[in-house]
Amino acid sequence: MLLEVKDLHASIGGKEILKGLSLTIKAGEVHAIMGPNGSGKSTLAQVLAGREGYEITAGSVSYNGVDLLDLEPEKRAQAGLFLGFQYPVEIPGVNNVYLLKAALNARQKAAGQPEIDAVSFMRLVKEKAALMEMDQSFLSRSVNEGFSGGEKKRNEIFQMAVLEPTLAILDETDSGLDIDALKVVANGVNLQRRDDRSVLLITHYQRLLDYIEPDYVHVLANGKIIHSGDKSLALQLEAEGYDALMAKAAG
Amino acid sequence: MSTNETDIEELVAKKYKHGFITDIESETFEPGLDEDVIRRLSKLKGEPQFMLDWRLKSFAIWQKMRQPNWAKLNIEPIDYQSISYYSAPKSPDDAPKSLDEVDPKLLETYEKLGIPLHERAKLAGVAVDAVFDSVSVATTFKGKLNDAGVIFCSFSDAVKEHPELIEKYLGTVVPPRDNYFAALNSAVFSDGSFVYIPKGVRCPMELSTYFRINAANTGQFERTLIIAAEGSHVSYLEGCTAPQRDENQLHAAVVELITEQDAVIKYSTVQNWYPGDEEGKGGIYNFVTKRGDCRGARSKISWTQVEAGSAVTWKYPSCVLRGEGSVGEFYSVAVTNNYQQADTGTKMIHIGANTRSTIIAKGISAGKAQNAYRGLVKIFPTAKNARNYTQCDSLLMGDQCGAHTFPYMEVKEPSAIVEHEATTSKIAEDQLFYCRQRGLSEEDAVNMIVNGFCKDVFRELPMEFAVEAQALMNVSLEGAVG
Amino acid sequence: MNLDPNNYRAALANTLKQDADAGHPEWLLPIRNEALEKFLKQGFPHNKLENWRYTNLAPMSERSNASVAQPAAVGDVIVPVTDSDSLTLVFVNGMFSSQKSSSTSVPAKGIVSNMAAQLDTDGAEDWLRNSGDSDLAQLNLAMTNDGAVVQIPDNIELAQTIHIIFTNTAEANVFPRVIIRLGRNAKATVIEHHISNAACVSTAVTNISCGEGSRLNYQKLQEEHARSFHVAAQTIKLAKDSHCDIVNIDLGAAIARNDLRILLQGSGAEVGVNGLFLVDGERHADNHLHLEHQAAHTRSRAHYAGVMANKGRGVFNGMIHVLQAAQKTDAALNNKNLLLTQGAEIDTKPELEIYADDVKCAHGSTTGQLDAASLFYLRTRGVPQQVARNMLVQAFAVEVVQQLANESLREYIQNSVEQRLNELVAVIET
Repeated sequence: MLLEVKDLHASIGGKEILKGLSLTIKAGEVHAIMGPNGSGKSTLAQVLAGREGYEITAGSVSYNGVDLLDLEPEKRAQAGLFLGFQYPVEIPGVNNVYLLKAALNARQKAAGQPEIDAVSFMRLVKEKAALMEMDQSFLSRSVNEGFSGGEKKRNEIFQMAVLEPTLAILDETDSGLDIDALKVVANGVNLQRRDDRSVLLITHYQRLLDYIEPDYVHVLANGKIIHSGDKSLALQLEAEGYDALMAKAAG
Repeated sequence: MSTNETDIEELVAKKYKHGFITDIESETFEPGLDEDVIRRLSKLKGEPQFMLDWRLKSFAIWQKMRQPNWAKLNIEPIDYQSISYYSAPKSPDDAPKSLDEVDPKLLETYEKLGIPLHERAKLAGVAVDAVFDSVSVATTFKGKLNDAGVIFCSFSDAVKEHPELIEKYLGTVVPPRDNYFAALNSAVFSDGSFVYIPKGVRCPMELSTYFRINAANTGQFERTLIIAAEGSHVSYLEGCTAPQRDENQLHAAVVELITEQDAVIKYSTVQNWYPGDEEGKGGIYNFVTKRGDCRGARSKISWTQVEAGSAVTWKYPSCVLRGEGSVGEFYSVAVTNNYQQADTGTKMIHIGANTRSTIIAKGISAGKAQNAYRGLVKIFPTAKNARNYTQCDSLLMGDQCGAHTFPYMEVKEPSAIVEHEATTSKIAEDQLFYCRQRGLSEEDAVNMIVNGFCKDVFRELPMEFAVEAQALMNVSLEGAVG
Repeated sequence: MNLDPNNYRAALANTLKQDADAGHPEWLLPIRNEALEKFLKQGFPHNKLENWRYTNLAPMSERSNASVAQPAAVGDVIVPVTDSDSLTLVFVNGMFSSQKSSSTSVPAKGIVSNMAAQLDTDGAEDWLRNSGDSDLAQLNLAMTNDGAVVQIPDNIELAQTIHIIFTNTAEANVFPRVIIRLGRNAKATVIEHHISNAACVSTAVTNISCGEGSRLNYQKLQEEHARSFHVAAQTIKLAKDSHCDIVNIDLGAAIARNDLRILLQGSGAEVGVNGLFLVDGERHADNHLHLEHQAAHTRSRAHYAGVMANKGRGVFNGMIHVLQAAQKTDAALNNKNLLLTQGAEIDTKPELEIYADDVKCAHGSTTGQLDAASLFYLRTRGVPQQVARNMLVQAFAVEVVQQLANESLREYIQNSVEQRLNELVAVIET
């Protein structure tokens, strides 16, 4: 079992957002979580990555057998958890590649591995950039600064490709993308699918799932997973809407 | 701020108890300042009459002035009569013999800065090389500089070897009456650097001076004069990159830059005087007057500074843009931690038409420190189409520190454009989280973001200085995170 | 500048006699005496003070010294446009004119009145004593004849605009005083309007407090005679969750100085300030804005526009001051200036003084010409250059005028600004 979320309750500013969420992800699986606005999708992503400000009031998260909630955000990252941000942050003056190198070496160090040398690192970076059809000039620019919405998302998946996570949580990676950009991003994710790598897709629309086929689809509403199924659930949702399903779940 | 008069007295007393041995006593002055002290100083240095006259005139001016108190600084009164105004370098017998005798904390800092071992020894004051650093640099490359016609020597040598140049230029940019500390410096300055770049010459190398080595005993009042003749070009680095010994000391330097037509001077400083300890004890009072005079058309003076040290810094490297189309630049990073106080900025005085100036100032405040940007942009009615752009950003780390911005803009010409922007904030939570999500420790993430914040200034520094500056930032902010 | 204390003491004696004749309470006498002595000790502020670096009050203090006497004569009174349903309080040469004022229908327990009529009210002594720290507040306290008191009880929303007019017809000294107090969740719009047709010397003080959750629209308009002096100070205290929108427009006077001090004392307090100063001829206008964030989660926005021409000199000083307790402060201040002709000058100093770390504070200032791209754009649309310039200058100033809440007043000010700018721009082109 890679990730096991049990009865997770989380609140922010005294307001409960996650109200008993449970989810199990095995190695190599691709899960999609869908849900209407305000259902708690992004909160789940933030809580798993260790964002401060959320209070965990009940429940547990085990990742590779360790208590994930106990770890600092960087320790989670070093343990192979990657969050693709819904709104990737701009960091003026910090070079994109410089951040990646620091991140990669932090992970190497945590794993007791030697630092990667400059030549192999650049080779790796260039290879992955080509994969994401990213212009070389992006590499030397400041992290996300002045990037378009699509470029930022592409940069997230590029970082994922370099960091090679065990579990990638992609928070609304499809939002703000036109169809061409969506294909590039989806293709980037698909190329990274492996038996030992799991992906948690968080999305509002079914559209993304046309390009990245999930093994499981979950519907999140009001802080809980109310329904789980295979990829056909996404199509059903697209056709019937969230309301119908929520009514069914409530009834 | 617990630094006070007694510290200075103590320092002076210390000098006397430990600093001098009988055989060099004759070269050491009693504390106190009067005309006689200045006469003796001038005589000892073998100065011509004009130099002595100038010092005495400056002293008379200084006596009529009072120490200014307008800056946002908390300084205990300084007793100028308890300071010694001339002291010979410490006897080599008294200096640490090897690195083993040096404060391990100091060595740790050098290690973090990545300063090479032989350099570390020099910086720690180990008697490796007794030669004044700036002179030794000049000696090393004397042949090459001579061929180019460049004069680069200590101020004392320049007074002896090029009195006509000193007499012509000294005090023409920063006159003795300019301010209290400039007047004091003019009366008692001990040494410094002199640079003359002849017409049309591009200085074949970067010139640099480390004031550090002699400074522990005699460097409180340096004077630097750089003249770039028509069409010449020079890049000058000033390093005070090592902390001094645990002494509380007044440092009042004057730097004058002059550019003739089409000449360029780029002046970079990395200032890391001893900042005092975590409780605010000790450290340097750094009261410096730096000014450049763009006399010729299309000339350019560019100041870049990284201010990391000193207990109190008070410094406004300025440009007088006289020549038509002349350009002034000021790039600054000021970082303060613990009880440090920095009040720094620039003055851009636009007199000529089509003059341009750019000001980029980054302030970082941590611990219980206070960090202020103070600047003046003045556009005279003669400065048609003058243009200024100013950007001041402050970063706060911790809720005990302060960041302040005091820009003055005085515009008397309708065709001029003056723009100023300033922001103050802490490191954004989301930036920090983003970096940590990628696996960086909080401290590394902070260092990375802070260095990114300073990027616009660091990129103006010569390469090796930029690397040093980045490392210095991390050291200076140590303990500020968390 | 040496003051002649006897001159001032004689004037005070006169004021005290008026107090006695009017049957004003006895506590007034010691307060006034004390205030005058404080003022005499301090004198008029001078250029050596950082706050007065760019403004020399010597001409005003000379006039004031020559005669501190307050006028009685009433000549041609100008009363600016008012809405028929506004509550208006009119003061002519410092004295309340019930004739010119509208009959006031005030909510129960509320006050919209002249101050002299309210001196017996509980708390009146405090209103007067709390004159603020401005440099001439004590002089105002010693000498003020009358002023306006606006007090809105808790939970009352006043629909009508309160229009306070200080109109002067004589070359003499006036000391207007305005007191505004809003109760919890109260809501009001108050205009303080200074207008004169004689070279008066006006020293005005305004004290405002906004109770928890209250909303205030406060607008100060200054259209004094071109040879008059106008030195005004306002202190505005904002309690928890209160909001205040301020417009400050300076169009007149030979020397005008405005000290607007805003204290955000309760969390959630919010203030917006829009200022315009139009300085032509040989006029001098100095606007000081001090925003003091004392509590957490407070927010301020300030925008000042200055237009200078001829030998006019504008001064702007805007300070955002964040105290250590005021975490999560969000403050932004912006000052834009246009110099239309050679000879004009602007001295601007936006400042940040910040002692809390979790804040977002920014300021900006630009001084320069009209935006070349906008000018070009308008010309490509066929607008002649001069017209285009005029349009852009107008837009620059009108942006602030648009913030005036009261429609008829807005039109009135807009017309007056447009007319002034038209004349100026026309002169520049020729």
